[in-house]
Order: sequence, then structure tokens, then C-alpha cells
Amino acid sequence: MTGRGRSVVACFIALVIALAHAGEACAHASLVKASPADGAVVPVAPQALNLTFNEPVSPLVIRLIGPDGASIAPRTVVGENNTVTVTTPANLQRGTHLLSWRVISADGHPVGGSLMFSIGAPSAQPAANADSRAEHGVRAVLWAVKVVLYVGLFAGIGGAFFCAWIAEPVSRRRSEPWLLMLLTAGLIAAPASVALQGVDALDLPLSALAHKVSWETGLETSYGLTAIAAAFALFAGLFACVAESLRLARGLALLGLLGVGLALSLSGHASTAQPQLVSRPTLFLHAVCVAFWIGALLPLALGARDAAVRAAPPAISELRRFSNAIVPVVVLLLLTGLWLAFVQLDRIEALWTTNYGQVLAGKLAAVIVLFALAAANRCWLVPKFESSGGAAARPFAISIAFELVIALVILGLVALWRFTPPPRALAADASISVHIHGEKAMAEIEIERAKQRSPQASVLVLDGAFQPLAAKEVTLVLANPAAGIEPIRMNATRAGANGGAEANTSTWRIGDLRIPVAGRWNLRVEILISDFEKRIIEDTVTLPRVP
Amino acid sequence: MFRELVLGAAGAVVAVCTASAHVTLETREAAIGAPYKAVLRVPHGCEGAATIALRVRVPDGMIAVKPMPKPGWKVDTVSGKYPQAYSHFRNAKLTEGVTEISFTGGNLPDAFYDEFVFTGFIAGDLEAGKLLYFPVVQECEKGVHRWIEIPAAGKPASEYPEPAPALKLLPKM
Repeated sequence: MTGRGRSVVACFIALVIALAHAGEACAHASLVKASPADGAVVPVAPQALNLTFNEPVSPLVIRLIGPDGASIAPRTVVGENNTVTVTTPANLQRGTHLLSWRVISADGHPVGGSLMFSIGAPSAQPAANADSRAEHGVRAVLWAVKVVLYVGLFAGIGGAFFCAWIAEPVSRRRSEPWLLMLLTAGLIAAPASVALQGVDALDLPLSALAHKVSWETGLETSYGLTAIAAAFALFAGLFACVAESLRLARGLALLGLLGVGLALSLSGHASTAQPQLVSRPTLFLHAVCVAFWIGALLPLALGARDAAVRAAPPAISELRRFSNAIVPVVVLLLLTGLWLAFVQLDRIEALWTTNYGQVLAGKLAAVIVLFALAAANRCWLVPKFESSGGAAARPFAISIAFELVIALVILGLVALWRFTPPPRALAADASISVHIHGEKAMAEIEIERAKQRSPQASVLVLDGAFQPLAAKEVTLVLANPAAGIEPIRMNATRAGANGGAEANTSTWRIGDLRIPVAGRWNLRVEILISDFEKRIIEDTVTLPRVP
Repeated sequence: MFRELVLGAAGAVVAVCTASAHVTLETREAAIGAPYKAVLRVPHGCEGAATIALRVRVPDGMIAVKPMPKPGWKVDTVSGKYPQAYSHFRNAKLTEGVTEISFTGGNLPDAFYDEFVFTGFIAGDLEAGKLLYFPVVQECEKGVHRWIEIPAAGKPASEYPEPAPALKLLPKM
């Protein structure tokens, strides 16, 4: 038989097989009944979950996700006739569970879907302060990494600036290894803080640091820009330290110092305070001044120590240069600091009634001590040091070392602000908003995570020209292929359907929207305009877990 | 040869089955400027419930439409103006006609299969190579299927759960 002949025979046999199959029930298997039903609340954990279809199916993938977002392995999964029975482990928790199923019918056409049921009662949103232990772990690590980054930025880059512009060559050589160490630590902390930011935003455990999604999410937040600017600034500082020519070192150090200001003003509570046009430059100046001051402390401390211990000649000229330069810097630091505190606090009691205020109060106390020490140095120890040299070196060295410690405390306190929203922002609860854009329609989805209540979602549907779109039905479909979660369909109801005077057809509500696991979700909005017209918009969005 | 056989069989099975899992047209290609008999095939109800009504929106460009009577079903049409005048036969122009057909009052159990038929003329003014969509609403004793999803450019219809039946337009014969 020739090759062509064989192909013809093969095709013929294929056709016969296909036709034989076509004779069978060759339709979509569809779920007819589920027990417990979608949305059901059952008093005790069911022994088995039953999915009944309109025709015989065999299960492909069955996934059960518990209220804590963890995947639960079913004990057995059996397909018999039209029913798939999933037996569950004995120790199911109270709260809302997700069952994602994918089955294949006789025709080889796989279909999937998800349903949710609750044991006892639907999972309530945990109170905002009742964080899990895992979260505390993430936050402690995030805090520590941020402190390292701040030390790299302020002491490292500030130090590089001091060495390039103010210090004597001997002092520069002395500080170089220390600064390189701080800058390198900062360069390690910068990317690490991005991933931690992602893990924290998604509400994931520390082990999720290895997942790509944590890094992507961290970079997508405004903090991603801060980390990138910080990394550039740290590199500039690093090269300034090792540069041969003083000119190049000065240029790079200045660039690094400005980079510190830029990094800090790109994200965070203070930079987003209104009016941003004032807040951002103020924060920029504040950060640059801080870097200038804190950066000088380490080289000065090292110089004073050498003078005290090894009776090295004190670098009087660099001290004098610094003393002259620091006055306008401190004035600027105070003014910008006061402005930022004023904007963030909006009332004086907030200093002791809110977490943010308490951190600020702590920082102010530390700053006052720092100022007192600095003033003592300037008025008393420095003139003595200049006139009598070695004898006064010891108290001067101790005083500067103490200043350094307080500067570290201040940086530690500032890093705490990441976890304490300012009073200004507390009112706006942690809601999630998503915008999905299509050619003919778009949707604004807002998920509210109110305390001790089911998470609610509102969906505003608009046409391509941002005008409200009158819809007959709105359906939200969420799927997470990476996590193996089949589409979860949720029908929205019209907001204020029988209450308001004006029938609002463009705002829709979903009473109980839950996102069982954090990650990248395919989100689809199906908008039925009329009997025969449906507009579908979809996108992939990163969502945190909403239990 | 075995590979060819398996691939061929798999391809054919997929083709046949995706076709009959939805409400579809029996003939999926038609020349423009020629008559066309649309046969809508209904392979199942809604999650086990029997079909009690089928409504179809006649696409713009299918003109001079007449439904075929169906015993046990009440057949109604909605007429209206076409969005443009279409040429029909030699020098005639059609500006209005049937835009929607409904079959109601019947009962098609989920376990049974049925076809719903109407005829018409594919206007010669249409562009060959394009797809003409026939959105269908299938109403059941409980629930509804809306076979009305029109795929976005570059996306296959198989990615949609309820795609509208589509007709590919061929050049004039």
C-alpha cells in the first residue's frame, strides 16, 4: 500500500471512530445538582460532597480549598454514573470552603466549575488587628529588611557624600570599608524588600518569597519604584566610594544623595498626602537632609575614635566644614519635618491616640535627644577638641557614637511607619479596586473587606466612553488556572433594586465575594445588555486572599 | 500510520463533539447573494431542564426570512427596518423584514434532540470571508442558555462557554 493509500485508510477509520462517538450523548456535561449546594451553609462538616451531572462523567481534578486558603486533599474521589462523590477528611474547619471540579464526559469534552459552601457559618473577615502569627513573621522580617535598607541609604550614601565633599583624604580611606559594607547590605535589602512587600500585600506566608507572584506584586506597588530608585542611589554611592578621581566621586555621591530623596518620595504615606505637589518635594528635601546628617556621623565617629585610641591627628578642617554646612541643613530638616507631621496628624491628640502618632512621638523624642547631643558637641566638645586635641577626643567619640545609636533608633522607628497608616488614611478601609477595560465596555470593581462581615463587591459598568451602561444582568467570573481553580461564577444584583427612586442599572452588587487564594486571577465581567447582546471584558489581575 | 489514525480520530471527535455541545447551525458556510436554509440544532436543555422556548435574532444581511412551521410549537416573528437597504434579486431593494423569530409553547426534554428551521437570503452586499452570527436564547423550564457570545478578534469561539452560532460567508457563486 502506498503512503497516500495508508493515509486514506487512516482517515476512514478515524471517521468511523468519530461517527461512532458522535452517536453517543455528545453534549456538554453540566452540573445538575450539588450537595452541599453552592452558597449553602451546613451545620456540620459533610462526610461527602456529591456532584450530580446530566450524564455520566469521570472526575479529572477535584480541589478543595479551606477557609485559610490551604488546599485540602480529598480522601477519595469516585465517579459513578452521573455522580461524582468526594469524601472529605474528618477535620474540616468551620468557615467557607471552595470546591473546584473538572470532569470529562463520555465525549472527551472537559468541563469545570467551582462552588462554595460554609460549615457552621460563612467565614467572617478577621478584625484588622487580629493578625495571624505568620503575618507577624512577614512583618518582622519586612521591618528588619527596611531598617537595613534605610541604613544603607542614609548612613551609606550619606557617608559617601560626606567622604567625597567634606572629609579629608585620610578620613575617606578610614571610612571606605565600612561604607562599602553598608551600601552592599542596602543593595541586598532593596530587592528583598520588594518581594516582602509583595508577600505582605498578598497576605501570604513567608515561604511565598520564592513565588514569582510576590515579586511581580511587589514591583507593581508604588514601593517597586522606591526600591528601583534606592538601588540606583546605592550603586551611585558604591561607585563614589571606590572612584579614583575626586571629581567623579563628588558627582556620583551627589547623584546618590539626590537618589535617596527621590526613592523616599516615590512611595509611602507621606508622599501621597495631599497636596502631593507639596508633599513629595518636602519629603525629598527631608530625606536628603537626613542623609547628609546621618551620613556624616559614621566617618566623624571613626575619626574621633582614632584620635582617642591611637592619638591620630584630629581632622580639624573637616569638622569645621561640617559644622558650617550642618546649620542650614538642620533648619531645613526641622521645617520639612514639621510640615510633614502637620499634614499627617491633622490633630494633636493623634500623637498618643494612634499607632502612627505614637511612632512619631517616639521619633520626636529621639530627635530631641539627637539635637541636644549635637548642640553639646557643637558648643562645647568640638571647640575643646579643636584646642586641646587628644585629651578631649574620648568624650567627643562617645558622644558621636551615641548620636549614631540614636540615628539607628530613628531609622528603626521610621521603618515601623510601613505598618501604621497615618490618621489621615485610617478612614479609608482596606478595600481592593480593580479596573477592567474593554473596547465596548469597562468595569470598576470594588471589593470591601469590612470587619466581621462577608466581603462585598460593587461593580460599576460603563461603556467605552465612560458613560454608565444600562445592563440586564452582570456576572463576574473568577478563575485561577495556576492554582487549579476552575471558574467561579457570581451573579450580581442591581444595587438598590427596590429602594432608590432612580433605578440604577449601572451599579451592581455581589453580596459575598470571596477570593480563596492570593495570586493572579483571570477576571471576566459578562454584561448582558439585551436578550441577544452580551459584552464580555476580561483581564488578569493580582488579588490578595479575601477569605 | 497508527499515529495518523489516532490524531485523525482525536481531531474528528473534537470537531464533532464541540459542534454538538452547543446550539449550532447545521450548515456553517453559505455563499453571499444566495438562499440559505438555517437549521438550528438543539442538543440539550439547561442543566437537565426541558427547553420550552427558542428565540433567534436574525443577523443583519440575512433578508427575506421565513420560519418553517413546527408542530407543537407556536412560531412568531418580529419585523423591523434593516439597518441598510439590501439588494435582492435583480433590481429589488429590501429595507425591512423579519429580524427575530421565536418558537414557544413546546417542550423539548433534555434527553431529546430537535431542530428549528428557517430560510432566507444572504444579501450580496455582504463581505465574503466574514462571519455572520445568529444569537440564540434558549429558555427552559428552569434556567436559560444565551448562545450570544461573539468572540473578540483573534479569539476562537471554543474559548467561550456559550458562543453564538456562526455562518461563514463564501464568495458569490
